[in-house]
Amino acid sequence: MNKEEIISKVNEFLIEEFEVSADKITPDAPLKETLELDSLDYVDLVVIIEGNFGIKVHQEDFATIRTFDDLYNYIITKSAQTTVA
Amino acid sequence: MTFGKNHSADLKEAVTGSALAALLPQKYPFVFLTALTDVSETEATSVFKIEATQLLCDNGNLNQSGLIENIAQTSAAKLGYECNRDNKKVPLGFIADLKDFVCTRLPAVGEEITTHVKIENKVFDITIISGTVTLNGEKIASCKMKIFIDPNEQ
Repeated sequence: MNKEEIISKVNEFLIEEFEVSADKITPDAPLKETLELDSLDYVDLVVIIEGNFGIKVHQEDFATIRTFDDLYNYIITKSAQTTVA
Repeated sequence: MTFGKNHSADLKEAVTGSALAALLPQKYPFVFLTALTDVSETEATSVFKIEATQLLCDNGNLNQSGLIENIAQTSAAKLGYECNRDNKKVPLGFIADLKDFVCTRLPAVGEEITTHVKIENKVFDITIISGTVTLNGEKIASCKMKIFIDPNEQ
């Protein structure tokens, strides 16, 4: 899966799960504020990421994920590591 | 009273009474289980006979809060069983979120419900479970739940 495909898939489940309009999702937009995430929503987000991409998300990783672009890059990096491993 | 005949290899016989109480952080009268009848790595089953003196009963029926607590305590008993087996302290758990709760019938005093929980996922300190309550084989309630397990208690 290339970067565009991953971004498309991520956006698709974010729109569905968090009921956010597509035009609000831009690479530089803040993830937490845009999706109105509370701590339990992060759990849902992790479940979706792990289920869709077969990666294991660690709590501390979220400290560095602030924008949608951060999330895309995180998934791309972790997916690549999983594929290599 | 007999309980589930098909115990998993992990649970040789139903856990009742003081042995069951030792698995739960909740104490009488806020206990909504009669026996833990089956435990496996990802699932657990309990039975609960509703007594007349039971808390969370309205007009002779266990109310919805009682059913929710019963599902949560089935999950807690599973964790308690595993901690007990591994010589660990039984941790506190809290219902953090309840989703898709459906209840088609409230069980009456004197009836015995069977509750099955399945661990769907574990994320950080949250365990996500699905729970189903049956009465005489009929599904009467179900939900999904997020349970926060206090890491400082483990």
